[in-house]
Amino acid sequence: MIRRKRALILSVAVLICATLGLPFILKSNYLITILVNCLFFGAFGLAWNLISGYGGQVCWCHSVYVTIGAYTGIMLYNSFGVSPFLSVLLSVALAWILSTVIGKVSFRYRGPFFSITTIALGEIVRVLLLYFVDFTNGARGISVRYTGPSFWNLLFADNTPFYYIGIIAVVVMIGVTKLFERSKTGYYLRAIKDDEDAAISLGIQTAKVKLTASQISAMLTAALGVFYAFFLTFVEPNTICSVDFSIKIGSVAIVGGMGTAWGAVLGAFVIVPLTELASVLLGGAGGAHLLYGLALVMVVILQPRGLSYLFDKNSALRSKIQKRRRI
Amino acid sequence: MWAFVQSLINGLLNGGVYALIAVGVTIIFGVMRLINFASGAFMVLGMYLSWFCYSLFGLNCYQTIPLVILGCATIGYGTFRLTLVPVLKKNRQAGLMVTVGLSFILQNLLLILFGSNPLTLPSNLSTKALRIGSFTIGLPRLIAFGIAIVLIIVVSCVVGKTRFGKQMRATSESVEISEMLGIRTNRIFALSWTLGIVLIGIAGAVLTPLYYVQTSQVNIFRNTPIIAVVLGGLGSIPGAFLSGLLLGIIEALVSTTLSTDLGPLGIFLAYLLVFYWKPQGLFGKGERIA
Repeated sequence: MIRRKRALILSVAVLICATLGLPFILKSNYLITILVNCLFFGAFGLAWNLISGYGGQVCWCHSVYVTIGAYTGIMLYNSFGVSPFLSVLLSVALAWILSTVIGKVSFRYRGPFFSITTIALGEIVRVLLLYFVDFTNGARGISVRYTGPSFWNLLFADNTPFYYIGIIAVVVMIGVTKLFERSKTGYYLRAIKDDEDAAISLGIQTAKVKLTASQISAMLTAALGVFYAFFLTFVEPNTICSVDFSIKIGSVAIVGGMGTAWGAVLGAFVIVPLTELASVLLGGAGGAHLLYGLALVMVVILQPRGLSYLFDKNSALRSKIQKRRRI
Repeated sequence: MWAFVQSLINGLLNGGVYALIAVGVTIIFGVMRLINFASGAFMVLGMYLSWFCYSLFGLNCYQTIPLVILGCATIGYGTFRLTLVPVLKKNRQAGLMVTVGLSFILQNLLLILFGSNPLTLPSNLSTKALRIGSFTIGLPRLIAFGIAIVLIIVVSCVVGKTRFGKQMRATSESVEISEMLGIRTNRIFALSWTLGIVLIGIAGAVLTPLYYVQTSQVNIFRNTPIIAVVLGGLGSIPGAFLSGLLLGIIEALVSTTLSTDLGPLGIFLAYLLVFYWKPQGLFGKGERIA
């Protein structure tokens, strides 16, 4: 027993060292960029999971919250030199306002109203960004003005620092998810997902709980969006404020496993590299997006609990493997 | 004043096509309680099928309609058997996610097959117009509106008066009791889905003289019909029809008074307003309120 525990601690230590030292082993900015995307999509997926996985209210507008973070961060830096770490506060506030408006209108009713409203919202914000050209530069997008490397302004010569920021983001998100799981809102939300009638009969104020969860999800996504924008250094409305981006975030979480604290990260590390491969083999953006759609549909049909089911302690698969091992 | 009436006319004609797609979506919802987020993708599929028939056989867009019906019915039924049958008995979110994924798959499959260049189906009607007084009514728009109205009337008759329509209405009220009465609900699901997809595909075919055939149309045509369905009351065919027309008018008025880009904004604000005051829609039978 002590030998097993020692082996476990050793392997975990080796894993942590390998993870932290990976950029220096790989040395290729392209590969590091893919890893950063994996990490950020994992973090976005975990934020999405808070309202859509635990709550069952599937939200297709997280791209809007990322956009809020992105545009706030970049515009405040370009115009006033405000550090993105401070812009996080404003973008979180804006995301709170937006999610409250949407939530107050649609959470009073059951059914697909929330999902429909979120899809429509994505289009509206995108159209607004394109319309107010003088303010947002329209379809030309905005980019971060690079004036030399600076940590507080998230300007770096290559993407290696964003790898570590990504790791911190994922670790923080996993922590937040676990805290949320055990909080009162988290329990109420999962009760609502299982059986809304029973939850109401127990006196849970369903609309309020769903609203709180979507506010938390939105605020976290916007905060992450600030960092993601400085990683991309260029954003424009048609890519970052599109339903396609929201679907990608959702797919990552669904494929990895909704309702778990780390499923989205697993999903991200599986899907993002595969889509890089697909876009090389099938050409252009079409191949990559096709893979997102296929993965989403196949997971929902075959194993709605996602890939994390394979690691679930109670799953039937695990007991089958254990039976084989004994023989 | 003239601009107002002219945009009213244009909006009404546009609304007819929105109404057709909305009726397709509302039939699917009424029978299966499934919002078809892939409606925009199937509409663009209809457009591409129409263009494909044109490039193979040189037919104009109205002559391609029978082939588009065939193509959409086959592909619709195929996607239903492959992706939706496993999910219908599961919870609501599963169906939602599958249709979103389906929309993504179709859109990008078409992108890979046909490329991202905007294609056109030349039609000798695209520049002709009717003049009534000082107002112009574009002929392709009018024909699209006419086809949409005829199809909606036909579908209403099918749903209201035929035995098949009765079975559809029974299934939409209660699946279990319909099964007990001997209605083969799986077949009703498949046929309703195919009917909805065919309507949406025809809408795509008749729109080819007016819009470029490219996959970016998917996003434009996905939101408005679904909002029309919710506005009109989920599952109500006359509701979807009238809301489609209404949204077309709102979009046209906002486009001419404010800016073309803000058309979708007007639709969304209208949706929020109506939804806040009357959540079951203008003609809705009343979904359960939390």
